[in-house]
Parts: sequence; C-alpha cells; structure tokens
Amino acid sequence: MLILNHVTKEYDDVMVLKDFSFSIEKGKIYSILGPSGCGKTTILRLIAELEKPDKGQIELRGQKVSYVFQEPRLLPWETVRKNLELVCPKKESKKIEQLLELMELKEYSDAYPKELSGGMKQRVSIMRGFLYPHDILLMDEPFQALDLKLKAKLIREIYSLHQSMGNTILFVTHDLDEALLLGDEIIILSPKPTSIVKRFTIDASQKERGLENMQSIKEDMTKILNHASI
Amino acid sequence: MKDFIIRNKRAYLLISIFIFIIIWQISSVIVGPLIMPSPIETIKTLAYFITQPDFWKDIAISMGRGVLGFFLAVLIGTPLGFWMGLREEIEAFFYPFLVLTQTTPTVSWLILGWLWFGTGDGAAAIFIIWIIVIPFIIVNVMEGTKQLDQQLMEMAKVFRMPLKKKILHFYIPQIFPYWIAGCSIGSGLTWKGVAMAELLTARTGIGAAMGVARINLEIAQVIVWSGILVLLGYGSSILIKRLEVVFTKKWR
Repeated sequence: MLILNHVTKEYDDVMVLKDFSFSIEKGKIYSILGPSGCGKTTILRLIAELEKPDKGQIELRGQKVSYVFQEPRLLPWETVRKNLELVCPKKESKKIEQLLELMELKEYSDAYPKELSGGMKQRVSIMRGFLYPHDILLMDEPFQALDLKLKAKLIREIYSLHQSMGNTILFVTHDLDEALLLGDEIIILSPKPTSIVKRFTIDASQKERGLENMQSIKEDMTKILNHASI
Repeated sequence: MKDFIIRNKRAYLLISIFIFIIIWQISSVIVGPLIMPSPIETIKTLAYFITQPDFWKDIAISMGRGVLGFFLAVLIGTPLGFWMGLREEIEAFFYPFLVLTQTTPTVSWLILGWLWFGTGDGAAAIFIIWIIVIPFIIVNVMEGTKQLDQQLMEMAKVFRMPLKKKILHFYIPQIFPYWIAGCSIGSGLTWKGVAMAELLTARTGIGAAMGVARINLEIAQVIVWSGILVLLGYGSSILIKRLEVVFTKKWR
C-alpha cells in the first residue's frame, strides 16, 4: 500500500538513502530502528512529502498522511483545544474530548502550550496526529519526553486506538522495548547510506504476553544492532 | 530606588515640561517676541485659532491625506512584503523599487510629486506620504515572513491547512510584530511628511497654513501648527502601541 521505490536522497553531498526500497501493508504498525543519523527521519519526511527524493518514487496511492513530529510543534498562541481543532474536520469535538480524557489532559484543554510540561505537549502532538484524518500515521520518536509509566500507558492506548481505527503506523524509535511493544513488524536499518538489515515480525499473541516473552527476539535484535555498529 | 522613580515618573514629566516652558519664556525675552513668541502669546494664538472653522478644516484635510497615504502604503506594502519574503525571485524583482524608495531623498519626492500631481487637491501629498512610508512596511513584513517558524510551517503543510487557516493561525500571529513595528515607524513619518508635502504642493492643510504663516512671519502660528503635528504623531503612536499590546498579548 505504501512503496518506496529505489529512492535516493542526498544532503550536502552526504548520501543518506541510496536506491532504497521498501513496502508496507495496510493496517499494521511498523517500528523502524537504526543508528543515529541513518535516515529514519528522512524516510518519514519523504513519505510526508516534506522532502522530494533525488531519484526514485514514493507511491502513496492517494492515502492521507498524518505526522507526530519529534518536537511537539504546537502553535504557542492557541490553546490545546484550538491546536487540536485546527487539524480536525468540523464536529469532531466529541472525539477531541475522548482523546483529552485518554491522554489525561482534560483539565488542560484551555491551557496554552507554554503552560504545559514537555511530556504534556508531546501528548497533545500525539493526539493531533491521531485526530487528523489519515491512512498512514508517521511517528518520529514520540515518547522521548515522557516518563516510563506514562510511556507504557501511551503505548497501550496507541495500540488500542490503532486497532479501532485500522490505520497504518510507521514508528521511528531508538528504544528496543518501545519497538517490540508497539510494532507488528520491526525494521532494522543500517548506517547511511541506509539499507534494511532485517525485518522481524511480531505476532499479536507474543505482544499480548508482554516483553518477558519476547526476550529471544530482543536478543536477536540486539545482536544485529550491535553488528550494524549502532 | 526603582520604585521611587516609577512612582514619580509623572512628577518628572511635569518638571520636564515646566523647565521647557521656562526656557521658552527666557528665550522669548532674550531674542524678542517677533523671533520667539512667548508661551502666553502662542496660547493666545491657539485660543483664537480654535474658534476659526478653517483651523479645524486644515487639520481634517491633513489628517485625511495622512491617513489615506498611510493606509495605501499599508494596503500595498503588506502583501508585497509578504510575497517578497516568501519568494526570493519576487524579492529580487522588486528589490530595485525598494532601494529606490529607501534611498531617494524626501526632497526629491517632494519636487517630483509637485511636478507630477501639481498643487490643489493634495494628490501630491498623498503620493509623497505613500512613497516614504511604503518601504518601511515592505521591509518589516518581508523580514517577518522570512522569520516564519519553519517547523510550524511544515506542520501546516503536513496537515494540509487551508489558506484561510494558514493566514489566520500561522502567518498573522507571526508577522504581526514586524508589521506593527513598520506601521509605527510609518506613522511617525506620515505627519512629518504631510506637513512637508503640503508646504510645497498644496493650498490647503496644515503644511499650506504653515507656509502662509511663514510668509507673514507669524511665528506663533508656526509653533501652534507644529504642536498640532506633534499631537497627531503622538496620538497615532499611542494608537499603534495599544493595538500592539492587545494583539501581542493574544498571540504571545
């Protein structure tokens, strides 16, 4: 459903992606792991059409893309509610209320971003990503500013939201546990110029049983990541 | 100490005005009332003026010209500055016009305006105000547009914000501080420009009345008219400041 076809992207003579191809299926969560600067964000930016590939094509086939950026990117002069309403079609206030409750931000709906902590802002940004009508949701290290407890809760909530919406999620992370808990498939990338080192499939039953039951996959992934000099 | 100064700011202001009036009175005594009319003489002239309909008519005419020239500069300068800030090729295209309006001395525009529009209905004055104000609006709006937060603009792009939402929620809040700074400079220049322009190119308005007072050596009248221009300049700067406070509070 989304295909990157022999994509090449260069920044200031540094080749980030060279003849890079991959495809993903509809309705799955893909965790993308890789060393810093390997081009994970570049892949998301290309899919979101924020960058154009130097060569190759990105086939979106009319699908709408939403994005949770690394930084919250909220409008500082608008309240939390207004920031969310801006990306919503009209009459979505019920959905906004539900999400505010889910993200434990109901009492902050009329607050301005400067009145929120880093984690709260990031939660608003995640909500915005889900509220914007989309087929593919791109998430670029969205849990960076969050504490462990909240992170675990959000991962569960995001997973259940994804199940009810049926959207496709491409999720970039550094954290092995996050990747395992959220991803239906884990894609490990090499240093630049980027290529796919390995794809792991995690079935739903494994995910339900929790991290303790995914130790062997985690060990395999760690070996590959170490080998890829991460 | 700081609190004391703040509390007594008004007192300092009054002392300053009082000293100014004393110096004015002493100068009048030293050089004579023909060269420097006393404060009392000037107030008498003002008292006479305010009973004359022509006095108010001249003020209204100058204000009309000033406001029209200023608004035309804002009306054309704002979208032009925005466009120049967004697109480098548009900036390059209009750059010679910008340099021309920024560097040509006001006296050149005065003479050209007079030659092109003649004297009479004040078209020359409106043109001169427009041409001296517009570069400040353009430059400030262009600078504001160049300083747009690119992360927010990318966010607007990803979420396919319609133009109306982009203008209201992205562009205006970010460009407004630059725009209002341009307007503030422009409004100061407007009242200086209007008097200069009318002096040479119009038969009505404050500048024209000052010209008549100059010919008749009525220095008290010149001082009264200058005071009116100061009030107009100060009033418009207060108005712009208020506007700035209201909106920056909203968008900060």
